[in-house]
Amino acid sequence: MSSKIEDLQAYLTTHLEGKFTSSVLALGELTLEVPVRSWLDVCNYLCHDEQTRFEQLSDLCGVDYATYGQAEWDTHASSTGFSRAVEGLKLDPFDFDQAKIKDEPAEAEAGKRFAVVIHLLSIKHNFRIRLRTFCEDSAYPVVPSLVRVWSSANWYEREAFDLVGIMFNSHPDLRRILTDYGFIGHPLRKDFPLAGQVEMRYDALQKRVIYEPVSIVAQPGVPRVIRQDQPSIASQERDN
Amino acid sequence: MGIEGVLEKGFVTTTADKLINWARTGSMWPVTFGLACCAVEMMQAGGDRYDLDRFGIIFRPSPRQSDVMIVAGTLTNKMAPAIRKVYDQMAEPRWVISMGSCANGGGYYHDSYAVMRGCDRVLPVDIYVPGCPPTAEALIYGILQLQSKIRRTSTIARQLS
Repeated sequence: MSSKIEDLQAYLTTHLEGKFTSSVLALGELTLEVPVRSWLDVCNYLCHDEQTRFEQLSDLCGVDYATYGQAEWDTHASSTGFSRAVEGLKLDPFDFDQAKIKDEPAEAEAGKRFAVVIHLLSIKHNFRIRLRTFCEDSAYPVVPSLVRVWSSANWYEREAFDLVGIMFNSHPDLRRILTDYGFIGHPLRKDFPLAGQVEMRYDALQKRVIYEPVSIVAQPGVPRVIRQDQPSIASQERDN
Repeated sequence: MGIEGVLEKGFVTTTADKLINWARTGSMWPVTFGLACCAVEMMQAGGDRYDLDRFGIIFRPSPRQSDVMIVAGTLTNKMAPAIRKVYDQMAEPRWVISMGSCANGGGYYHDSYAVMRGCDRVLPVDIYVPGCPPTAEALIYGILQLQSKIRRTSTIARQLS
């Protein structure tokens, strides 16, 4: 006997043929990979079709796959203790002009950097689904807006625009939602420096809070080192 | 008590400084500036168990009625002009208590692009209360420290500049 979610997968495979590139059922969760051109069609269908009837968009977020699959820390050097006891190959978060990120997501959609992921809930049928679409152009990622399908997409899309920099076509009000007024850049992009570009302080002469370039110095993360000459650790190693 | 004899006569003498400082320390009304989880500890300090009211500390919704500002929580860049505006609206004399690691120096978010590295970049802070978050007792201790700081200042005598 097939489960409800398997029935849904079979139903979508027949009724949305050609509209999505893959459907994966793992851990009881169904994920569809949808190309941008049929993004709105698929969402409209899932929302209004009686057999799916996903009334609710419970989440929408943008993803930056720029460094996907690259380990921040190489984990083979230490067989015991913390797995971080090694050099990281990491991008320096304080290197402010690192335009050198390699754009090669280890994904099926190689070469595409930005994706939008949504989670839908059908209250009528009591099941959920996940949809993902990769933006065609990594330099100017555009995805059709879902506000007309689910109005809850409005602020989610503003958030994805603000933090990841994905443009949503025909969104009614695509402004920043979280970051500072006049903020420049998209903080959740992998090439955004952690400390940002500006910091603030009160200027007693101008009698207002002013912006200045960041002043904090780079503090590279120091890999954790397990010293074998420490008697307590050495004895633990022996016991193991 | 030692002043019983004086009380019979119906009056006591003291310095104006002592009287004014007694009044100031006995009614420090804080402007409510809860920004993050520290605010929950501040509420706890104001609640019935620790009861800041017994120190004459009554949270005010308006900066114009307040003497002290308790910056309780992470001060972000976006909030910085607003907190300065609220501070500027407070009548003198005014004091600032910085509560918790984030307000003291950025704390956990020190390296962040969005967070002030300490509220003393925008406000002149009198008392720093350490902790993440500080307990209600720690905040009360900070308030008592501020009271003793106020008691040490003279109000009538102005410094010649």
